[in-house]
Amino acid sequence: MNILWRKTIRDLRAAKAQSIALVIIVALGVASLIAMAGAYRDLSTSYQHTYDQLHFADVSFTVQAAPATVVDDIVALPDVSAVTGRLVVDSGYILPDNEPIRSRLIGVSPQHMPDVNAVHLSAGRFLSPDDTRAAVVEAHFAKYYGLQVGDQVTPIINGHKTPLTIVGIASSPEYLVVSASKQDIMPSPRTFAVLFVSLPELQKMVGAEGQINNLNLLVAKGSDRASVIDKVKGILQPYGLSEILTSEEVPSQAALQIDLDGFRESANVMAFLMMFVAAMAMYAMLSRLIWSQRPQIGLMKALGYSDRTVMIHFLAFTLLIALAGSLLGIALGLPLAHATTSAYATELGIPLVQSKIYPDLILTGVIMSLIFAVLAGISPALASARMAPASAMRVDPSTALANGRISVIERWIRVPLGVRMPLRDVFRMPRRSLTTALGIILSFVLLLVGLGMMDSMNYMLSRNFQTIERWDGLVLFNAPQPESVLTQVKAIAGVKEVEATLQLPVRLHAGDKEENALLVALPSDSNLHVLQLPAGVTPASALQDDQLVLTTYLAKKLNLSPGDTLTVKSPLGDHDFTYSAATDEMSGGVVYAAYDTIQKMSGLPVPVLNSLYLTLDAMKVKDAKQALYHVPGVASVQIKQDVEKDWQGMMGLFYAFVAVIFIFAFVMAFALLFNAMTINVLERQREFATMRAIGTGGGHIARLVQLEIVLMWLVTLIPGLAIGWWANVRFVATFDSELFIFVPYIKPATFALTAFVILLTMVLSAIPAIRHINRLDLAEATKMIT
Amino acid sequence: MSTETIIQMQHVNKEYQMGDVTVRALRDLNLDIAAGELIVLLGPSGSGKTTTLNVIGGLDRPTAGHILVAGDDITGYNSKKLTQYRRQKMGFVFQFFNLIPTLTASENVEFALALVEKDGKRLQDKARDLLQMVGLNDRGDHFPSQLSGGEQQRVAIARALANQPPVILCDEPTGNLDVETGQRVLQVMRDLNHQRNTTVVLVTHNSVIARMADRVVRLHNGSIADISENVHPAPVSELSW
Ligand SMILES: Nc1ncnc2c1ncn2[C@@H]1O[C@H](COP(=O)(O)OP(=O)(O)OP(=O)(O)O)[C@@H](O)[C@H]1O
Ligand SMILES: [Mg+2]
Repeated sequence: MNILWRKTIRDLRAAKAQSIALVIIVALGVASLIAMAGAYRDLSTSYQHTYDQLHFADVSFTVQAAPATVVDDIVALPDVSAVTGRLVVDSGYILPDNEPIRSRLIGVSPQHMPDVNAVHLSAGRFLSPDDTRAAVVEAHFAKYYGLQVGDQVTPIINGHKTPLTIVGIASSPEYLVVSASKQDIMPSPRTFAVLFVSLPELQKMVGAEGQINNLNLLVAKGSDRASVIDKVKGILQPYGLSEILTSEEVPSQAALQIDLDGFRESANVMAFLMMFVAAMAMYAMLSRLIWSQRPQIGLMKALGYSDRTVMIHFLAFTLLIALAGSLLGIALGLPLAHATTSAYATELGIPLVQSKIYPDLILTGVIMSLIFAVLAGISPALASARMAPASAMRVDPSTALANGRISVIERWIRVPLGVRMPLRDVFRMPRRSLTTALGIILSFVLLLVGLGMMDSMNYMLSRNFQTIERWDGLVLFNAPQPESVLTQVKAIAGVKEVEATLQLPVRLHAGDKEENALLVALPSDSNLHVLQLPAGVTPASALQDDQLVLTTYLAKKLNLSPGDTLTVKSPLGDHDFTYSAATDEMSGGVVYAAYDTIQKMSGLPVPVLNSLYLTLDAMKVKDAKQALYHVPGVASVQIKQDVEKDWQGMMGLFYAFVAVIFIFAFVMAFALLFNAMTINVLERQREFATMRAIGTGGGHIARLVQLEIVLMWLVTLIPGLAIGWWANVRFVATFDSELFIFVPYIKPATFALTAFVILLTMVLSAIPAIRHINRLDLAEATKMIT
Repeated sequence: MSTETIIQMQHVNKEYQMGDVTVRALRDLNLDIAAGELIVLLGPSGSGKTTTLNVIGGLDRPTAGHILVAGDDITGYNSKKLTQYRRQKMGFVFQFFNLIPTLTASENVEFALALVEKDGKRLQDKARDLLQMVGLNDRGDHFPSQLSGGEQQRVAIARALANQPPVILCDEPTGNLDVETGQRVLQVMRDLNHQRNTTVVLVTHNSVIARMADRVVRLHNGSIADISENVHPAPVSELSW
């Protein structure tokens, strides 16, 4: 082997601990890129794959009722490749403990798997014509309640509790996220049962023989969907066409897309952050390592090695580390990407998962680390190439880093001799201290971003469910009701306070910007939903007349400032509002207006409402809930505690994601600190050896080093916490979506914990180096220049 | 002995700027060195001995003045030519040995040899021969930290001789050695000088060593204080300190 290569390998081996720490840092950076960006792509392709395999409808039409034969007319249209007609009945469902929830019965032909919107069976079989009272149950619901093939489900059909036997459990492309409607975007397998049953049987049970009300179709590849929709519209118009949903508009898909977009952004940002930290660390550490070899650079030049050879030699050093790190990163990242994808897919119940290897991601990771390795290696190598070899060799590198001044602090206060030396070490060697400080600050950033996400999520949830939503129960009606229903609700035992609201899907127009939102008409003195308005603004003043309160998210999206006007398009017509103030809430796409304003606008003779906020007697929640379901027109009753639990369930995945990030961040921070501390001590091997030689005790040296560490920690504490907070704010913002808004928040205790963990890690990670110094063969150490 | 001049230092100045203070390490130095000469630079600490070696060896550039080597002005060299110059014309023995700690004695010599010799086998053979020359044939596989100071110095000499440079620059080659080892190191220099007609510039502050030189240059405060010629240089074995 070439002598230069031999030297490179030996040098790496001599700085074994540091090299390994660097390799780990690079590996984690590359791994996080591969894992997170890879998982995102996997998920996108898995969704697409599921949709393709299960023939997810391009468009679905809902009518009042149509003869089943209409399917043939539509299939006959050009550019329509398949049509499935179904009877969809929304109804109730009685849980074993008699609690009513919602159900959706989907009648499909038992002859064969539907051509459009097929299902993927995870257990049992599909319906067969010989079955009676059989059902295929949607997988999320089955999983939530632990249902198995052979068990019974009990939907209410035509007012009767109708037991059906489960023959199969299946995933459906329409319900990858179980969402009943667009307004109900929170996945809710707890409160929503989707059952596939035999079409003829369902028709008979609801008295709709030969009728269907839902048609799903696939448009031929390459043809124009809009024109197909127009033609189908023409055919279905006579049957009371009520809804047309394109594949993107299906609630499940809409929710998935939001989720996926959020994931992509945070995955990218996280991967970038990790890679960036790895690169900075690599730069700082490698340039230090090379700097410490300056006498050897000088020697090489004295012997007649060319500047180019010297540079290549030291670049090889950094490139080897980057390469080893990349390889380890790939080895780590690929299975992690796969695991992340599976975890997500399992949690979301995506049946057909595709996990691939993305060469371009791997390449990006490798190239990025190599580039930073080159940057790290080239600057010290260039610096020494520019330097006369005589001065490169003249002095011990550690003293070359120093400038001969008394530290600032010493000029102000008299410090004892024992503190003076570490003080000067920190302040008189700006170059060394700066790179060390950089490592420490990056560790602060990593830990605060990881822990801060957890804090922000907890803060957001507790703020939402304790401060903003003060109700215990939320009642949604199928259709607007007269206010007389209030008397009926108030009479129910256990119901304490009732507030009437009207909720409408609306479209907001402001200048050239448009957004979908949910309009909530709220009593302006509402106690049960507390708007989070700017200081000095009261709900009463913000909701006066034609004023509208927007969530911060919407105000930003529409680029509005208080006083601006916007148009609200709703089933009640178009109306102009003045934007009065922003409410800082978790929900993204909501606007608030005064209940009275909306009633006036509706032009109806009597006020109507379609939802209620309630407070309930904690002892009677269950009974009250049942009683509420018996009020005519009630579509759903949500208990805040359950909703909060749903959220926490959904957050399980989020916490897992954060946990992985945190582990990465922590290992990286540890490697960073270990490296910084080790270099700090080992660079001064000779200095310490000399100290020991003149009789300084091992304990004294340990105290000296640790004191220096505490000083470094003190110096980096404020910038570390500040930059960490800033990074957390930036990072948390990437999670914002229509679904919910993240508020960056870090508990004071978390700041304290982070600071403590970093100090502890610093102190501990210096121990191996100190022990090394104290065990040093003094005879050997003092003999050597390097 | 040939009297052809190999090195001419003409009005050489070297200044170091240390903040507001200018350190004048060399002041208008004029010195001719003949090919095949063994010359000793003598002087107290800080008098500019190492600096003189450095500017001759192309490790450092003078602030003013010219250095002609075999008639060529090296002060005008660019860094590439300077590298060639160091590789082909100069061998260094440093005051602090400057061995690479992660390479063995033999590898430290190979490290210099590898600049001209590419064949691995011949590389090892040559390294062994060189170590043998300085009396270290059995220490080739030892790392610097496993060698004594004198042994390290001899490895450094073997390394300096590796590519048979016409000029060898030695900075305090015996400063860290006992008399006996010192003598051995000096003997190597003397032999080289006699047998290969290598020009040797030897820095020391030990006036005893000066007795072996053909000429002795005394430096003081960056200038030449005195030059004396030894008509009969003493054999190394007669030196003792
Ligand atoms: N890089 C530098 N920066 C500032 N001053 C320097 C530098 N290098 C050398 N000097 C100064 O130049 C003068 C000559 O230094 P030089 O190393 O040549 O002395 P020397 O004769 O070799 O001394 P010694 O016998 O102690 O090795 C000294 O005063 C030294 O302090
Ligand atoms: Mg000197």
